[in-house]
Amino acid sequence: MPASSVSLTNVYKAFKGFKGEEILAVDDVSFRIEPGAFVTLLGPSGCGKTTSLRMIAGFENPTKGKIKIDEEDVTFIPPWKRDTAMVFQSYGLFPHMNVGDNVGYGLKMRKVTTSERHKKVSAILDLVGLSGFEERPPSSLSGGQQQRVALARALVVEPSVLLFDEPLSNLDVLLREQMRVEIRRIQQKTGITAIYVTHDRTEAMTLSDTVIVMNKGKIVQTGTPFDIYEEPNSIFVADFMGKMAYFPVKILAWEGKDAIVELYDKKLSVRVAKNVTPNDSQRYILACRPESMKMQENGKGVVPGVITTNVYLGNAIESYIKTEFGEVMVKSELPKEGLRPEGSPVSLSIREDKAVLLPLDPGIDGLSLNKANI
Amino acid sequence: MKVKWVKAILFCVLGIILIVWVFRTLETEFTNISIQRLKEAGLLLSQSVPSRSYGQWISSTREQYPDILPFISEGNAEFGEKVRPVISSKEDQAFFDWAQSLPFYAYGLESTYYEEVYFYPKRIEWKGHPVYISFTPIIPEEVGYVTGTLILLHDGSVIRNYGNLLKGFAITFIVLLSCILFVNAFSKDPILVYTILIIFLIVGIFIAFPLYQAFRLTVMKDGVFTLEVWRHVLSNRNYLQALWGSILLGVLTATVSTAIGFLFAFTLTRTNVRGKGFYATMATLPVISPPFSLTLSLILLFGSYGLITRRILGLTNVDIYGLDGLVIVQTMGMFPIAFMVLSGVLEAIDSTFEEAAMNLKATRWKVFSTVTLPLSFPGIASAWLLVFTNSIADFANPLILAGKYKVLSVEAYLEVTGMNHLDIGATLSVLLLIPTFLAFGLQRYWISKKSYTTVTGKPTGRILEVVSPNVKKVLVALMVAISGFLLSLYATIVAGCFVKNWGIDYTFTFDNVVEALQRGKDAIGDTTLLAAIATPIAGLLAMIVAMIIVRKRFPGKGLMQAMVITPYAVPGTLVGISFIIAFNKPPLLLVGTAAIIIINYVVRELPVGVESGIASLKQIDPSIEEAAQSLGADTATVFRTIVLPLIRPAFISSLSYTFVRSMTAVSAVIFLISAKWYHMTILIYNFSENLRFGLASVLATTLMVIVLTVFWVLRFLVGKSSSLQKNIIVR
Ligand SMILES: Nc1ncnc2c1ncn2[C@@H]1O[C@H](COP(=O)(O)OP(=O)(O)OP(=O)(O)O)[C@@H](O)[C@H]1O
Ligand SMILES: [Mg+2]
Repeated sequence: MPASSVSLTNVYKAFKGFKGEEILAVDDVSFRIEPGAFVTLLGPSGCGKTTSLRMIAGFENPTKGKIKIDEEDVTFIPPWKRDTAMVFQSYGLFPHMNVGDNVGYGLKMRKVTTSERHKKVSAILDLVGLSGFEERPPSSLSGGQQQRVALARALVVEPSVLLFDEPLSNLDVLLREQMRVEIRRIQQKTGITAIYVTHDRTEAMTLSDTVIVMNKGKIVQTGTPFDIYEEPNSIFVADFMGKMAYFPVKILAWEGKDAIVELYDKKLSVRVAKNVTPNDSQRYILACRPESMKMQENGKGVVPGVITTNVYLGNAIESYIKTEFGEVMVKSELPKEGLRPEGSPVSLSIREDKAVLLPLDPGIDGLSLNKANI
Repeated sequence: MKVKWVKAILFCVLGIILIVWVFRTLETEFTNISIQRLKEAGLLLSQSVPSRSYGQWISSTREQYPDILPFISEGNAEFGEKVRPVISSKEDQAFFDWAQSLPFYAYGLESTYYEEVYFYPKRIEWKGHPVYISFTPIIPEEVGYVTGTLILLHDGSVIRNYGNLLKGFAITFIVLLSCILFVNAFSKDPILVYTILIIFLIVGIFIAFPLYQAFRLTVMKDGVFTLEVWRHVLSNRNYLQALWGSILLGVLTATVSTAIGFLFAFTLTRTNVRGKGFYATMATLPVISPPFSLTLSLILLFGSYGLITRRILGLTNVDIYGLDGLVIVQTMGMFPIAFMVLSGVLEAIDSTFEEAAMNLKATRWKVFSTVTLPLSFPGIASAWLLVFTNSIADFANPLILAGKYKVLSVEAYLEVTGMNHLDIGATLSVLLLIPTFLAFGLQRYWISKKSYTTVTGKPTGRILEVVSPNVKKVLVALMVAISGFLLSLYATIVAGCFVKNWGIDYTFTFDNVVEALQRGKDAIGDTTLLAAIATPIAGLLAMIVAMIIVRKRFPGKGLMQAMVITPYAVPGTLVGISFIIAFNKPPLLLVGTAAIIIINYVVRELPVGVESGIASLKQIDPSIEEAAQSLGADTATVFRTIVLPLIRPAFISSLSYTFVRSMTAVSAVIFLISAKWYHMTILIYNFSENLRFGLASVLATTLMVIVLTVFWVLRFLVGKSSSLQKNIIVR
C-alpha cells in the first residue's frame, strides 16, 4: 500500500462559540509525519486533537495555515478528493447496508468492478478477522466487530493516510487492549501512515512511533513514547503521562545538559528537561517517576517520610509516603524481607539518571503539585 | 491563493468582455436592420403623400399605422422656396416646437432637398415615448422634384425592449459566469454552493418576493407610501365585523376543540377504557378528511332541507349557515389537533405525581384539579392556540357555511375575485396574520416559560385510575357520542352520492356518480397531475434543505430556515393573493399556468417536509456521512446514497403529505386556478354553491378515497404511521 507524509504548517482553527465568541481550537500547530509512521495526538479533552485530525481529513477548513499530504497542498481540497480514510469513535457504519456493502462502499466510489470489489472486500475482512460476515447487517455485530468493519472499510480503499479518532473508546477494557494490538499489527503489516487521536496515554504509548502531546490547542511536546514518559519537558506532560513526585530543590550549578541540585543537604546530579535552556531567573522543580525512587532504611536515602498506605498490585506494590513536600507514591517490587508496614518511617532515594528538572511556571506552588496528584 | 484570485479575475474579465461584445454586436445588428426597415417604410409612405390637403392624409395615416407618426414640412429651401411646417392640429404644433429645437433638424431637412433620406441613428424621447426620427423627401410623381419633407416618428419601443432583453441576458450571463468562476476557484464544494444559491433563489423568488409584494401593495399606491388602504379597511364596518367574526369563531372553536381534545386525551391516557384504538382513530381521522366534506354532510343533515332537521324533526326554519354551524364543523375537523398535543403532554406527565397526591388522601377531584390540570396547563394553552390559529386561517369551511356571517379569509377572497380589489384583499389577509403572530408569540414567550419539567422519560406503564367509575361512564358516553356524530357525518357524505335529490327525493341512484365523474374528470385529472408533479419536487427539495440546514455551515442559514418555514405560518389566503400579485407580469408571468399551482404546492408543503427531515437527520450520527465523504463520496453522492435512504420515513411521509395536501388544497389554489387548470376542491365548492350536493358528495368521497389510499400505501411503505400523524397538523 502507498504511504504518504503529512505535514501541517502553522495551522490555526477558530470556531464561533454559542455567544459569538472565538474559540481557538487549534493554535499554531506544525508537525510533519513521515511515510509509514504511526503518530498519536494525545491530550486532555478539548485540546484540539479531533479538530486537527478533521482538518487533515478535510472536514474542517483551517482558519490559517497549510496542510500537505505527500507534499501536495490539500488545504482546500474536499474530503472526498483526499487520499485519507477515517475511522470514527462511533464507527459511522452505514446502517442501511450490510457489512459487505459497507466495506465495499469506498471501492464503489472508486468505480472498482463488482468482481474485483468482492475479492477485495473478502480479503480485507479476512485481515480483520471477520471473514464470512458480508451479509450481516452492522446492527447484529458486537462493538468490537463493528469497529473492525469500520477499520476494514477504511483499509480497503488503500488510503495513503489512515486517520483514527478515539476508535476504541466505546469498547470495554479487554476488547480495547485486544483491538489495540490488532490495529498496530495491521498498520505494521500494511505499512500505512496512521494518525491516531486519543486521550488515553496507555493507548498512545503502546501504539505509536511518535506521540504528539497537545494542550489548549498547542503542541507541547513531540517525541517517542519513551521520551515523553521519561523526559517530559513540562509539568503538564509529566503529569499527563503518569504519576510524578515533585521535590523543590536548590540549584547549585549547571553542567551542560545536567544540573547539580541540593535536596536535604545531599547533592544530586540530574538531567534538565529537553528543550529547556538553563536560566537562573527561572524556578525549577525536581520530578521523579514512582518507579525511579526507592524506599531505604531511615537515614540512608534523601527524603525522609512515613508510609501511609500500601496498595498491593500483584506484580508490584504502590506505597504512599508522607513527606515534607506532601504525599508521594513509590512503586516497587515486593522486597524479600516483606512489606514495610504502614506507619513505618522510611527514607527515599532518587535515581539520578531518571529524575528530571522541570521548569516551574511563576505563580505555581511547587508543593501543591504532589497534593493535586493524589 | 493569490494565483487563484488573479486567474479567476482574469477569466472573469475576459468572459465579461466576450459577453459584452457578443451582445453589443447582436444589439447593433438588430438596430441596424430595424432602422433599415423603418427607412424603407418611410420611403414607401412618402410616395403616398398627396400634393395638397395634407391634413387629411396625415390623420388617416395616423389611424392606419399606429406605430408611425407623420408630419410634413412644406417647401424646398434649395429652390429658394419658403419652408413651412404643415400644422393642422395641436399635436403638429407641439411637435414642430420640439423638433425645431433639435440640433440636427435643419440638417435633416436639408438632406431631403438633395433627395436623401436622413435617419437620426439615436433613440430619442417624444412625450415620454422612445422614438426614432427620420426625414424623407416628398417627390410627387407628377412633379419629379422635392416639394417638401416627410418627418416621421417611428415607435422605438420594440427596439428598446429587445435591447433591454439583451441587456438582461447579458447581465444574467455575466452574473452566472462570475458565480461559476469564483465558486469553482474558491469553494471546496461547488455543488453545495450552487445548491445553496439555488435554494436561496427559489425561496427568494417564490416565498419572500410575493409576500413582500403583497405587503407593499397594502402600503403603496402609484409608487408612493400611503396608509390609505389600511385606513379604509380599518374604518369600514364590514371589514371590522369580519375581523371580529374571525376572532370570535377562533375563540369558540378553540375552546370547544380543546375541551373535546382533552376529554379524549385524558380518558385514553388516564383510564382503562376498552377500545382505545378506536377512539384514538376517531380523534385523529378528521385531520385528513378533505375540505368541504364535513361541511357538506352538516348541510345534508341539518340544513334547511336536512335529513334530520326537515325529514325527521319536521323543522322548516332552521339555518345551519353561520357561526353555530361553523363552530360545529371546525370543531369536528380540528379537535384532533388538540387531542394530539394533549395526549403527548398527558403521556409525559408521570402518574407518580397523581399517586403521590392520592397517598396524601386527596380526593379524586382534588387530585385532578390540583395536580393533573395544572401540570397539563401549558399543553392546554398550546393546543388552544394551535386550534385558534387554524380556525382563523380556515377558508374552506366558512366559504360554504358562513352564510351572512363574515370572516376575514372569505372577505379577502370576495374582495379579490368579486371586486378585483387586490389591495384590500391583501390588506385583509395581512390582518389575518396578526392573530397568528400574537398566538405564536404567546406560545413562544409565555407558555414555554410556564411549562414544568414533567417529562421523566420513564413511562411507568401503570395507569392509576384517577376517576371514579361513574365519572368514567360519563366520559365514555361523551366519547361515544362524539365518535358517533363524526361517523354519521362521514356516512352521510357517502350516502349523499347515491341519493337522487337530497331533502326531497331520497331514491337510490347512480346518476350523481356518473354526472359528477363526467363533469369532474378534467378537474380530477388536473388535480392529480399537478399534485403528482409537485410531490417529488417538494419531497426532494425538503430533504435537501433539511440536510443543508442540519449539516452544513454557511452564512444566511438562519435566514434560509426562517424563509422556508414562513409559508407554514402564513394563511393560504395570503399566499394565494401574494402569488397573483407577484406573478402577473413579465418576466414572471405565471398567473394562469400550471407552474404557479405547482410552485404554490411546493412552497406551502415544504415547511412540514423540511421540519420532519430536520428532526430525523438530527437523530443520525454525522460521522456516518463523514465516513462516506472520507471514502470518496461527494456531497451529492452522500445525499443520494446515505442521507436519503436513512431519512426514508421522513421522505416518504413528506411525499405523501405533499400529495394529500395538494389534492385537498383550497385556500391558496382558489386564486390560482384557471379555465385550463382546475382543481377538484373548487369544483366541489361550485357544485355546493349551485346546491348540487349530490355531485359535491361524489367528488368529496372520491377525494376521501384517494387520501385514504395514499395513507394506506404509505403505512405499508413506512411500516409505522406514528411519525406521520405528528406531521399531519392541518392549518
Ligand atoms: N464545531 C464546533 N463549533 C464550536 N466549537 C468547536 C467545534 N468543534 C470543536 N470545538 C471546540 O474546539 C475545542 C477543541 O475541540 P476538539 O474536538 O478538537 O477537542 P478534542 O481534543 O478532540 O477533545 P476530546 O478528547 O474531548 O474529543 C473545544 O473547546 C471544542 O469545544
Ligand atoms: Mg475528540
